[in-house]
Amino acid sequence: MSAVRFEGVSKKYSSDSSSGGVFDISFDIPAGQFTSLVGASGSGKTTILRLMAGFLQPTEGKIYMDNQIVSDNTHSLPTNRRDLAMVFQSYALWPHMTVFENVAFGLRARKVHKPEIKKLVDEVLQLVNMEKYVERRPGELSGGQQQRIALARSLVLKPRLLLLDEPLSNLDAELRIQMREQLKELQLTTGITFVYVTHDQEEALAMSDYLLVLEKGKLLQSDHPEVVYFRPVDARVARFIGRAFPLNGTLVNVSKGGLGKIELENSNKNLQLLGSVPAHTGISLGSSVCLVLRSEMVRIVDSNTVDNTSECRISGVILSSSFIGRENQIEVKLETGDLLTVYDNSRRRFKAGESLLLAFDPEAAVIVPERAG
Amino acid sequence: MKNDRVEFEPMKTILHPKPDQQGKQKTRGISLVPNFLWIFTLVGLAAIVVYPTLRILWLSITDINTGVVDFSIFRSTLSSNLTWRATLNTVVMAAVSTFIAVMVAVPMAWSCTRTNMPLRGLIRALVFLTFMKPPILLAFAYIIIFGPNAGLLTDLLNSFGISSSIYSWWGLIFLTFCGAYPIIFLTIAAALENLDPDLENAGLAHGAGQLLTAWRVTLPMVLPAILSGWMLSFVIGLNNFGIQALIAIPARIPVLTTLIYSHFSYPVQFTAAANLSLILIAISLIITTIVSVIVAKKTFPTIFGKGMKPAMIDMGALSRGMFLALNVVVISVTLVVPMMIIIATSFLKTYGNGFVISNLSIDSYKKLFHLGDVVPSLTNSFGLGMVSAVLMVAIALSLTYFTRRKKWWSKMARVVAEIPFVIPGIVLAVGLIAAYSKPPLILYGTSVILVLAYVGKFLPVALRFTNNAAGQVGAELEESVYAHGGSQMDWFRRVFCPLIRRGVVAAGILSFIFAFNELSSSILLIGTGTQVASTVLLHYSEEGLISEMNAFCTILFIVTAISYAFVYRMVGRSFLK
Amino acid sequence: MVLILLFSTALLSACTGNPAGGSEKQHTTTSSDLPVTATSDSLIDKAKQEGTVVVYTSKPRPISIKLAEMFEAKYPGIKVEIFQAGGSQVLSKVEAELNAGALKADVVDYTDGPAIIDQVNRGIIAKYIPENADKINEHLRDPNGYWVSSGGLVTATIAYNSNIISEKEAPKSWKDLTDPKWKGKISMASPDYAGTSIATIQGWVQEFGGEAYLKALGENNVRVLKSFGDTENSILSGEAPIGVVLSFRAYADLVDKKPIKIVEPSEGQFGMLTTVGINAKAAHPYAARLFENFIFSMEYQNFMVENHYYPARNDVQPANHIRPLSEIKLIWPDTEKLADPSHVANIKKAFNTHLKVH
Repeated sequence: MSAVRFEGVSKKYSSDSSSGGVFDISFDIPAGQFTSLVGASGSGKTTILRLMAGFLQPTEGKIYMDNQIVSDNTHSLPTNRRDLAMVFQSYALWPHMTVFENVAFGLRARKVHKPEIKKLVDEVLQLVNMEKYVERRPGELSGGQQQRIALARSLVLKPRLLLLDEPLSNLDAELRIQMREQLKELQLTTGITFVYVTHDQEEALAMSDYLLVLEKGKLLQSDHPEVVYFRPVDARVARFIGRAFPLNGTLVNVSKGGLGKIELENSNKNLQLLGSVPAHTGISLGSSVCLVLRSEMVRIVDSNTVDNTSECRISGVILSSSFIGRENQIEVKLETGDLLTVYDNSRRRFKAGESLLLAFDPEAAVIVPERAG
Repeated sequence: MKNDRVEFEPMKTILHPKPDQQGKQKTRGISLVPNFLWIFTLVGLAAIVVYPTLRILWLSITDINTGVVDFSIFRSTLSSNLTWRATLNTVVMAAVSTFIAVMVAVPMAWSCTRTNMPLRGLIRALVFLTFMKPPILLAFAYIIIFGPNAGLLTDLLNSFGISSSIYSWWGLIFLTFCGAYPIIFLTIAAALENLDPDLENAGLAHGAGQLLTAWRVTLPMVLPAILSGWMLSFVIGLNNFGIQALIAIPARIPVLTTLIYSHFSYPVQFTAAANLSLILIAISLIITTIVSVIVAKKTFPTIFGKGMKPAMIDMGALSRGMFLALNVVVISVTLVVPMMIIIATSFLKTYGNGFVISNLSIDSYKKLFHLGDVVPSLTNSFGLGMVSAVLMVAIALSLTYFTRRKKWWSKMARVVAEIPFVIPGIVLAVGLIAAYSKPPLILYGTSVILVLAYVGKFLPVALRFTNNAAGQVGAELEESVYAHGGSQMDWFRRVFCPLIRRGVVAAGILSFIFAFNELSSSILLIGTGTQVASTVLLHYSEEGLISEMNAFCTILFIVTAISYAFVYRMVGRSFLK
Repeated sequence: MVLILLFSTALLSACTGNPAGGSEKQHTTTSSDLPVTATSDSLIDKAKQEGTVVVYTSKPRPISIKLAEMFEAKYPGIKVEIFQAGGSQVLSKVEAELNAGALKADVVDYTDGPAIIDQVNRGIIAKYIPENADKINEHLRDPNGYWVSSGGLVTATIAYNSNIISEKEAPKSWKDLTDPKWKGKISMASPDYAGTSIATIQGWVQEFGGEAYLKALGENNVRVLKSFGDTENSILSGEAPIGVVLSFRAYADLVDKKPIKIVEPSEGQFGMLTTVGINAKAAHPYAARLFENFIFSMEYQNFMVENHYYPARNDVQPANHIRPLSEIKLIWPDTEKLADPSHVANIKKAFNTHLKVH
């Protein structure tokens, strides 16, 4: 069941598409799960969140929540009637209220009885480990504490939808990781539908049950994280999620086993590589495609070893190499001119300028169009 | 800030959350109350501001006897050399004095709010007192000190070859400055206190020294407040009849207000006066527009959902001493010394016989109370000031609230509200009399007309403070309300109002003070037996009742000081948290 | 908002007492029914029915208040509502109300006397000749019966600070004011703000033939202040130890033992016309007429004497300390000219130019 559905939603700030906004977006957000909206800044993820919240009204299209329409271009259900809650990037705690008053705000707006409010607020503060700070004002709390109060303020309402707008971006790295786990855990225990906005793809992969990948106001892919990672719909998604290194080329052949052969651009030797072509992608022979390589799929091979037939090989020159503890991180300029990062834990030393031969399994490397749709 | 909140527009119907009934079941919902508020605000503005202003405009282009449109006086006013000389003098006077005021007020406000300078609390209190006391008191005092021939210091300075008569450009600029700097100080001090200290800390953290940080970080952040305070004091300076009449006339410096008032003696020429006020309106609209554009570009919300901790800058002994000296000197010359002179003079048995023991008595006070004006006029001033302040704040709050929507009509309303502020009071009074003497609405002749004048005239003061306060409230604090099930009313009542309550209290107090001290509209609008303190003072001065005048000045000052102490106790405690 | 407005109105009426005007009843009496002259006795009943008289006056505050008290004491049941302000302010208020089409005053009293003639010409003032009019100084009443003096004769003269200037060296005439030794030491009230100053200027123009005297005053840096009160203070403080004053104020200072001396200029003092008239559309026409009669009653005339005025009635003598009219030379500025707005505008302009005010 979908908690939120967008049907052909556009929000234009002006007729010029470069001025931001979102364009013709449709998706379903699964109920009771943790969904992330991920994209670079300016990709429209915050706009989508604000459309869900009802702070913005779509220029076109319809928005549903629990299969009931909440917004179209003429009408919009006010935010406070949408049974949602939101954690803001700035936390937006009301500075003149105590922690208790902040958390109790929504309950009071819903006319919950006083003793009940007290009980619920206490419970939720316990949940976020902030029960000691009931009487403090937001100004007297640290960033992490404020973040937890903002979360508690939303959770206490047990909304059907919780929107989180980059809530971790103001925290330091260690706290972020810790809060990530807590958030995920809270989502599991409460069963509330979380919609989480982040520009950090790693964070999105780590936390989400479902991902929406956005770029320049367009929805590129919406699916489970594994699918997005292993079967990106196009090179743009692959580049953003999991740091892939797509090689451009033309699809020249597809075997029965689903292996495609591509002819790479920028390659004077007419280098041909293999990769898997997912079923039903509808890529036609002769079209420009990308072969998606990822660091973890590529290994360094000795140029003297015999070519194992199932593997593809490509050569390159080392640009730089750095020892990062567990392994060496090596930046390679491929013979196609593309850049690629590989990791090696063989304790071998690599020098800049040295030639290198790389190998990968074509079954793992996926062939996708440059731009889907 | 993409605060595109079309969907909360009051009149908008709210979608029923069932797709099949979409657009059929329309409810009016929660937005109704603010909607009413808006309508009443607009009606109030129309009645208090627009209609009387239109009457003045009408007056300026019609023949007063025949009522026919006639531009001849308008043309002759605009083609008169004197008009433009007075205009130039007015602008120079206001510009120079407010420029000095900014130069003085900025370091004073900064040292009183952000540093560990000693006596800073006392100094702030005294600046406020300087602002509260009737502006004309200073002029009276300085005429005693620097009057030509007989001033306490004039002869001394003359013997050094310094021509120091107060009836001169310096006197005019100095006294205008005295009225201007407290306003700028108060505006900046409020802004500095609301500033997120992290912004300053960031400056310090990036290697800038304290003074450099103040200059490069703090100053730009409070620039909108400085500009807004400057604009307010500039406009007040343009139109400060009390001081200009006492100084500019004998100084032979024609300014617009004295020229305007000169048309209010026989033969009375309202049309010429109205024409001249159009010039004042034009100057102030130009300044206001330019400053509003700059301020709109440079206003940064500084209250976010994060709280703030006060940070005090620890100054070295040398800078501490320098800043303290500046503060003490300014307070002395603008408050302490002149008030001491007035108080001392009020205890002279015979004015003109000098400060000797044998010449001391409380006769002035006996004579003053014998006239019987003190209690009723103070009561009236208080009552009218209170009622006006409440109304001003209500309208200002409502306007500020609706201006957050950034709709063109709410902006228009803001601009319109600014106009009467610069219309010389006496001209505004003529407009009000013209507007409200005949059915359907006969308000002239009742005290309501005074309230209309005060509200109309000083609404911009209240507006500026509520608006400054509201400008500092980040948009997410509002969204956060809706996102937690709160209604628009919840936002207005439980978050918006409490957050700007300091600004609102400040607006209320300031509006009250302006209304309390208002003179030039009151002259014509007071009814029979409805004296207010400022007009009584004027009459004493005009009738040469100088002992009574000094005694009344002293009483006014003491009342002001007591009120201040009262306000401080009432408001200072609960709002300075 | 509505609530606030209602609340405010309630509070206002509570704190300020009776509103101005207070013309609850509109009288249907047309001006033709009203007496052109009447004894007080014949007016009392109708005046009491009206119950109120609204007076706009620029007489000094203590005198205005006392006048009201005296009238109310003599005619209990008739309340005097007074608006008191400076001369030009009263005139401006009247003109503003006329502009709005509703003059609230029943009786107007201008220090800026001749201004009333212009209003008479505009049909604003009712014709009324008060009781005892025959005993009023002929300069102080309208031969056509529209206006009368406001009760006393005010003269403009020279005064100086006796602590600073000795009697011997003090100026003896208007001409002496142009003596360079007084350069920067003389002050006077601006005709732009103090209407009575206009009459003084007209007097100079008459006496000295044209604007030459104004020019000479300008060269002597005569300081122009806002009001006669300011001038008086400036003499007393020594700011400008010599000034052009109204005699009754100077006499009051003298009685208060303030360091002031009054000069009897050899050319003569100027007689100032202060006028009273009745609104032709007065809401309380009988009370207004009764009030005007009262101004020329013996008791009020004596009160004027106590306040150092020359009484308007020929049969009342001024106070002992005041030089009797018979001993002073009195110059009357031309009333006709002072009543002509364009002439007044011209002499004001000439004054302001020569004295470098503008």
